[in-house]
Amino acid sequence: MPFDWREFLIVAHGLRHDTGEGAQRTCLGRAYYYVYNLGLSNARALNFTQEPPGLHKKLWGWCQMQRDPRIIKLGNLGLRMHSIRLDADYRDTPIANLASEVKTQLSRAQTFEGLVAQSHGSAPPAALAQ
Amino acid sequence: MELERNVVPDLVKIPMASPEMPQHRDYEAQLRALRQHYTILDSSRSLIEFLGQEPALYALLAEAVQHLKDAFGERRLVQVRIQASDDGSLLKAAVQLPADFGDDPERALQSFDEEWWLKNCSRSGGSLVFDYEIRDAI
Repeated sequence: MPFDWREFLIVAHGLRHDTGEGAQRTCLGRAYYYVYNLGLSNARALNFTQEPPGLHKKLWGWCQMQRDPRIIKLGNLGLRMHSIRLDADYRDTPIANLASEVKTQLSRAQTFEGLVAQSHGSAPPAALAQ
Repeated sequence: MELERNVVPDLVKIPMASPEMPQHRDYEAQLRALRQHYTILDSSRSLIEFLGQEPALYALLAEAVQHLKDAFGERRLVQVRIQASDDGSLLKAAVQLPADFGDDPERALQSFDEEWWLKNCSRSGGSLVFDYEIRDAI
């Protein structure tokens, strides 16, 4: 049975109140990788054929080039989340207002999965408890 | 620095690199023009190199100035920096907002998207991100 990438979102959500910087940065990264894998799977089904290296930028850039406004929005959300994840995993200087970034990243992940569900004509996954 | 609306078209007019003009001169002019509206956090050399690799980004940054003001308000600091990783680099333009920013910043960002960015993001090649950052104190 394939791995359910939403487990990453559940892990991220579970870390949202942890005040440790490592936990908060991990939250940002896991929320992004949930969205990345969901977006990649969605795009593959729509004939996105590009391969690494640079697959993150290629994926979101491809989404931004599509005609379907929902896919364009997915590209923007994904790229913004990717950018936040880059700070979390590569930047050694402090990230200003990390708690706010966590809240934003999780909110965007839920918006993203809602848009994907909408594009498939299905109901969005149940929102995680606040 | 507060700039009038009519400054933006001048900014857009600065030529892109062309065979007739040395590329470094074009990009330096672009960088000077961008500095009127954006706070560049990287070295001139790094940004010129990035704009050289992604020549469409200059025009997008120039055109975005007024749309960012419309969405987030005048006199907002907008920081531009390169985000490097082992999987490619992005250019991030982040509007700096105070913690007590009155409106919902996501709503302001959505307004920016709906008014302009969603119609133009296809030109960016997935290399440019517009976002906001909440600061504890500005």
